[in-house]
Amino acid sequence: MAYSDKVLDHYENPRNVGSLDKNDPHVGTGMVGAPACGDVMKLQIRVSDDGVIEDAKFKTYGCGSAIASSSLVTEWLKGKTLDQAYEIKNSAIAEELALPPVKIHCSVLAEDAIKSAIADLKSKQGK
Amino acid sequence: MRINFFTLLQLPETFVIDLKKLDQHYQSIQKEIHPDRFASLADEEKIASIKKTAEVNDAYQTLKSPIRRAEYLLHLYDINIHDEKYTVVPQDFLMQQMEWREELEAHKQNKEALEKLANDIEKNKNEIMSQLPKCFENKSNLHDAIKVTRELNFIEKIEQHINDALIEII
Repeated sequence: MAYSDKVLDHYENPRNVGSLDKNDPHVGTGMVGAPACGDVMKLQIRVSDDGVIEDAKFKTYGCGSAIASSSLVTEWLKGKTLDQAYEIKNSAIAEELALPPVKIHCSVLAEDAIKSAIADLKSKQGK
Repeated sequence: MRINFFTLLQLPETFVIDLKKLDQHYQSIQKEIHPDRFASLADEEKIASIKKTAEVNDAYQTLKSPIRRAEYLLHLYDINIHDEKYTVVPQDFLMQQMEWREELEAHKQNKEALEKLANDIEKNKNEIMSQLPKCFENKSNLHDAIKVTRELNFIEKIEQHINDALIEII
């Protein structure tokens, strides 16, 4: 299957690969997986005291579309508030990357990773 | 409607099956329907026999593997464990998956380390697989069966990657 140029770009030059300190109270860590294909995705965000995402990192073991989806969302997340981040929909990711129907689940994975990271942060901060 | 693999191979529709019987039934059916036996018959019959052979092979491969058998049983209960909407897996399990993948990445060229990793993973896999019979005991509560089968899919994936890496080294 042919990947779109945008997927290839993110796959070959992934943005923001890496880790943040998961014990930092300002860091939220989201871990999700797709049993269908065995992909595993970790997404981390660091949020300032006024609730703005200052940094985002990811680590994904999966296909090109899964890597591209997580790479793209780390770019989108920076500078957003948590509420704005929560609004990121998988359909927007799929559209931006021109994902074919069989790869839509990769964008679902990325959306769920964002939600999981936010949930982790909130539970850490007791909100 | 597609034929039920258990019926095809004359086995009860349960997770725990008699593997000897599976082999025996498979072989006797194969003998009966083997396309070579129909060389003198009309094309339609040949095609029917080839189709049947493929079906029986498919059924055999599915039931022989505990993981495929578990998936197939769930499928018969109308549960598709490959549902793409399902992404939330226990965090500690995923953490372990992540660590294994990191280890694989770090030791891609190191045969010994990869074999050790494969060994550890196989132990873990066998442990998880040993839970399957119990998970399928109660048809009205398949929650654990779904969970365990999904976990095994992640483990199969990393095993496959390790094998690929080992082949590259050799």
